[in-house]
Amino acid sequence: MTQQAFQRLRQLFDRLTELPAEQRDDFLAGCAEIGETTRRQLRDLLQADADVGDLTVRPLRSPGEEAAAAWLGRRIGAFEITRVLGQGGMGSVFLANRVAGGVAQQVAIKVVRSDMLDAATRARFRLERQVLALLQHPNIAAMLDLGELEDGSPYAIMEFVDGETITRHAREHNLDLRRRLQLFLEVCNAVAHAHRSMIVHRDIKPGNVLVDREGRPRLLDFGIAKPLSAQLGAVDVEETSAAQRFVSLSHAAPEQLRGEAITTACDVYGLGALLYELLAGVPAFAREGLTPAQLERMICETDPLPPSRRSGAGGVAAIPRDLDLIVLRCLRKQPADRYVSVDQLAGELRDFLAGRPVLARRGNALYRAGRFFARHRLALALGAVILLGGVTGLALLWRQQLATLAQQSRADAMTDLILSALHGGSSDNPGSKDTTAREVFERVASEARARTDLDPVSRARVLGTVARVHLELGLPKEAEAVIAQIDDAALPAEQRDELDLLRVSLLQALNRFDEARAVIAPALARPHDVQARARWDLAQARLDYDEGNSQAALQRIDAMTPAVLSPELREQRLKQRSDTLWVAGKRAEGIADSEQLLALRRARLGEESPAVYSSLRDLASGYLYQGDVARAQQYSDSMLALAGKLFSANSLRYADALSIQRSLEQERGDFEAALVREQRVLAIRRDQLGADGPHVARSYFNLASLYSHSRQLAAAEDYGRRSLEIAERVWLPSDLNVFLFRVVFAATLIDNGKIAEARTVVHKALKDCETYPALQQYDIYPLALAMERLGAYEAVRSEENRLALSKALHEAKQGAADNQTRAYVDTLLAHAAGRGVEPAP
Amino acid sequence: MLPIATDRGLRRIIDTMTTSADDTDITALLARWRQGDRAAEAELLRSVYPVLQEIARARLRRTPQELTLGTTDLVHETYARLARADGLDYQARGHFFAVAARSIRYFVIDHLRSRGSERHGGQTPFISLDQLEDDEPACDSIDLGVDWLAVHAALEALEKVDAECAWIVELKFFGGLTTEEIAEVCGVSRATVVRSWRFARAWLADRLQAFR
Repeated sequence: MTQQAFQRLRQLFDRLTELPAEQRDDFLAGCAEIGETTRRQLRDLLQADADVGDLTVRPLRSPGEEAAAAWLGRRIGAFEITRVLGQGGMGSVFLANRVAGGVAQQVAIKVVRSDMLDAATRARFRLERQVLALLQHPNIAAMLDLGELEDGSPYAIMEFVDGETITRHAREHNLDLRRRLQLFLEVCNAVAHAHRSMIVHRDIKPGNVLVDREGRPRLLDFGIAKPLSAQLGAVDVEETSAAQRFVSLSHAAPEQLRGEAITTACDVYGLGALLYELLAGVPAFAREGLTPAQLERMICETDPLPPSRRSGAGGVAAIPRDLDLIVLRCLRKQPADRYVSVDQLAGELRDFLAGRPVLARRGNALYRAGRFFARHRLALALGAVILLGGVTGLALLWRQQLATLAQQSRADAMTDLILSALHGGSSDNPGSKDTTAREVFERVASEARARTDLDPVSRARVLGTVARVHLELGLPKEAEAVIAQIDDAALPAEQRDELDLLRVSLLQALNRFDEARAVIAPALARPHDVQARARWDLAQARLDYDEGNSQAALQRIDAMTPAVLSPELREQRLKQRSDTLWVAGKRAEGIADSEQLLALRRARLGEESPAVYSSLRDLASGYLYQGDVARAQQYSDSMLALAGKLFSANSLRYADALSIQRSLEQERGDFEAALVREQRVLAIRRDQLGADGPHVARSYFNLASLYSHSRQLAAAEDYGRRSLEIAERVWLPSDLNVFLFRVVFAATLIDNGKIAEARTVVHKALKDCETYPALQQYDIYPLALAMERLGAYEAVRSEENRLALSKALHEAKQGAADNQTRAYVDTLLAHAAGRGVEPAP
Repeated sequence: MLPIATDRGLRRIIDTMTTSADDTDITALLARWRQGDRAAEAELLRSVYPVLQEIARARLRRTPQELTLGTTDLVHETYARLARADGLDYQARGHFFAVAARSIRYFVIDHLRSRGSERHGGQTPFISLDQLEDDEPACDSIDLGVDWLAVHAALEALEKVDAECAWIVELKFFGGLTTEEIAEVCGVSRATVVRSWRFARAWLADRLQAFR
């Protein structure tokens, strides 16, 4: 057939299929120009269309599978199959009636395809049979028999429960919270009973918990999942047919996916997932739109949202906080972090129902710190595997972890390390407050150093991550100390490259730009793939930017090709560009880039992501700086709302959001409100970072100036002194912060009439300015000089000192570049005027 | 549009796919293709096929009784290995799946031929919608029990007279792409994809039936 003829055929087919079936013959008859061949082809096509019209692409299905109908009427044991209940690649489930013994009885029979199993698994099935005989409980559907067909296919005969799934039951009958919990407690009883017989269910999910006609929940399928998953691993057993899934991926516990030992904690997880769905009406992890590999990662790495936040139709309207905590505790990633037993879980729920306090509230913060680390650990372990086995896809990794003993032991060593680091501290002083994240990392680092069983790659990964965390927490010196303990020589090139990038970041944070350059230059000369090259280009741009060479930074950034970069790097580049434009004085352009970055991040990550949060922060502070208070307020409000959703109210990022609100309040002159906010900020930062980090120093500094504004001078001095104490410890003398904190503290002292003490403080500042002349470019330098002159004049009221003060005041006044500095200059002027000295050139 | 896989062309392309793809910058190639550079298409296929083939073979070796190939996983793994990145770049997703779909088609055909499968007599690639469970996501597996050799032959015939239509079918069968994604990759409207699929389905069903 020619292309034209074919196109004609297609057009006619399209026309015909748009018509109702009964009009098609008339239409065809009306087309006189159509030849008989085409007419026949069209009829065939329409016939085929009718045959396959409701068909789609064939999914997973194996050709060896016997037609279900062939099973009808077949006898297994004392039963005859009457109906097919479900079917899938692993096997089938049938409804059967007793035909021998004269008693009417309906049962469900599961038959597993023999070619899917090996001999060991079949042996395990036989073993299980003896154990299951022990399992008698009113809430467990009795396992009547386990056996094998002639072809070796194992089968299980179970009591048939005529009912609906527990979640559906709760939804359809619109059960209230108490009733749902009571149903769930019955399920707990059944599981706890099985656990006492050393039987773990492993696959607790709504589909396995039916509520029968009497309203009694019945647990199905005990003993089925275990022998099966032992052979196949949870992942491979995943089935497309819901009725016949042996271990369902969406309900699997993390350790099942990780291929770790399965204990009763696995059922605690399963019960938690069931309770989640029972309360919220939706499963803890929605699988829509996810590939199995993505879902696996989500189950293993992501903490589910509390059920109260996801509750929708079919769920309970207002889920109390205590229940959130109980459910989340069941769903923790590490088995050891969950309730130790089902009985304990049930006890908690009974306490809740009786209005007694629940255990779940305790230890939540430590758990969060541990989880934070666990995520990093995971990245580490995965990274190590990637480097070992060549470049391997993530999806493959879990399977490799299941398969390879060596990797398994590596992961165990890591987990072990984290766990002993976590537990080490809390047992030292039990009554103490929750361990801060920082303490945890310090312990992990020392644990990693002490371990002799860690290989160099893993050790470097752990230490590198701890260093990165220190850096993120604003502790570059600590980061440097940690990274110094890594021996690069034993590491593969890619990992060395990663560590070098980290070194550059921390050297920049320490203002040691020459050293940073010495790391970057040879790295830029090495061959890289596009993405790695871009990372180094951005490092160089960042260095140029830090050194005030924004022109060079911009050139480098603009020479990069965003289209070839990964989305992350593309965004990182835009972020650097925006920052650079900002310091280059092109603030409007910088803000425009930030807006673009925000849009990119929203599109890629959705509204509720930390990256969106940080863009909102940039924009809020950008507009604030530009004096566009209205816009700043708008972004600040979104930022605070997002912080509330994403992070806990005691998190640093929440504190950042509060801090910008504080700036806006300060900007509007509402010092009272600003003070309250800043105290909140301070409390959070102290809690998270300990008593003396740079963040805390900044908070003290802000408080000092707020008190100063509201003329509470004693408090201002107190906080100023504290801010300086920390600043001198956490920043280097070359750092602008130390300089600024000194000058501002000196101003406060002058305000309080302590001119001599102010002079001592300023002396130190000026000495640093001599050592680091770069500091002299700031407008607080002339201010510091004038303060020094005031001190000198106060000490010796000579004409010479008077003239020097007068001249210095004039220069300070001229030099003041912003309102803040101007305010300090004004204070100084007032005090000089009180001594009869006016500024003069 | 991708180069058309005629039987002879298929062999030729596979034969030239022996060089390692390690040095190829997959991200850049995808970007070039997205911008309309046609030379990038063939180059992509040359890079993707050997890697995908290796992963798919390894998978079939690991589970010899496995009768299906999960396309999504396969594609993601291939991408991860080529791009040395964890996740598939969102924007490049459709185009990468399209290259992967062609590669999977080659692989499946190659695999079945090397197994000496009968040319005809397997199952049809269609299944009724209500046989799919409601709560299951769209399936992304290739069932090796289907008579893909017959499907391949039919597709080749379709390619000769309507390449676009054949491409849409290829993406549907071997790529696991949604209608929207297919429309995006092929640069046609969603309605065109739906129409083409309906026609192709009838045409293939008619043709496959003729072989029985």
